[in-house]
Amino acid sequence: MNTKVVWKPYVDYEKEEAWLNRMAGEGWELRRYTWMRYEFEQGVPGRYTYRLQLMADTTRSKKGRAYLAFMRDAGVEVVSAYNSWVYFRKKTADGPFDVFSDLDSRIAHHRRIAGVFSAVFAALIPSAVVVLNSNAHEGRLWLAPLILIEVALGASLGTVALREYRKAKDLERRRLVHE
Amino acid sequence: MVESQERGPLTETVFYVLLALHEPMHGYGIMQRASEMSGGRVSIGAGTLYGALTTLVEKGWITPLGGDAGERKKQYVISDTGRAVVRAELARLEELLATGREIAGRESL
Repeated sequence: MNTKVVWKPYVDYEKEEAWLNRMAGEGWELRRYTWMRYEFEQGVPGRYTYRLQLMADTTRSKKGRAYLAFMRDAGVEVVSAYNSWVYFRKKTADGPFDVFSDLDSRIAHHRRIAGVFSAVFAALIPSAVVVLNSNAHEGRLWLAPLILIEVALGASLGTVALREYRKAKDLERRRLVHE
Repeated sequence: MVESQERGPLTETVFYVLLALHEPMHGYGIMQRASEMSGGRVSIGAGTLYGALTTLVEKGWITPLGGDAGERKKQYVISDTGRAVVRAELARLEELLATGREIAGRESL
C-alpha cells in the first residue's frame, strides 16, 4: 500500500481540515495523526470527507470513549484522535458530512475552541515576558529565534481564538431568528 | 409531568428524535428515520444527535434499552413523559398552523 508522511504545523483547524480534504480529493487519505505528523494512504480521489472536532472530554476519558463509540455506530469513521482533537471521515457518496447540524452545538464548539486557544495564548505571555526580559538585560541574542516563534504562535492562536469567538457570536445572533 | 418551563418549542432535532423513538432505535437508525420522515430535508449530524440523546435521557423523555454493558449499539425508546411532550408540541404546532393560515395563508389557499 502506497503511503506518505507529511510533517506540518497547523494552528488553525479550519485550514487543516481544508488541506486534509484537498489531499483526500487527490486520493491521499489521512490514516493517522500524531503531533504535526500526518500519515496518508493512497486511495480513491474524493472518496472521503474529513471533519475535525475539539471534544469536550479527552479522547481517552470514559465520556470521550463513549462519544467516539457512538460516532462509529452512527456511521462516522474515527480516523485519529489526538488529545481532545478528533479526525472524523465519512464516505462522500453518503452525502454532505457535518458533525453538527444544529446551531447550538456549533456555537458550543466554536466557544470551546475559542476558550482553549485563549488559554494557551494567555499561558504564552509569562514565558514571552521571561524570554524578552533575559534578552534585553543579558543580551542573550540566541534567544531571538525563540521570540519570533513565540510571537508567531501567539499571533496565530490569538487570530483563531478571535475568529472562533466571532463565529459563535454570529451564530448566536442568527439563533435569535432561526433555530 | 411536563414542567412549565419545558413547554417551549422543541428543536427540530428533538422533535424528530422523539418521533423516531416511537419504536426502539439506535443512533444510526434515528438519523435514517429522521431523513426519511422529512423527505430528506432533515439530516441530523451524529455529534448533534449524541448531545440530543444525552439531554433527552437526562430529562427522562427517552429511555436507553438493554443495559448490557457489552452491547455496543445502544437503543433508545420514548417514555410516557416524552409522549406527553410530543402531544403538547403538536397542539402548539397546530395553533401556529391555524393562526398562520388564517393571516398569511389567504392569498395562497
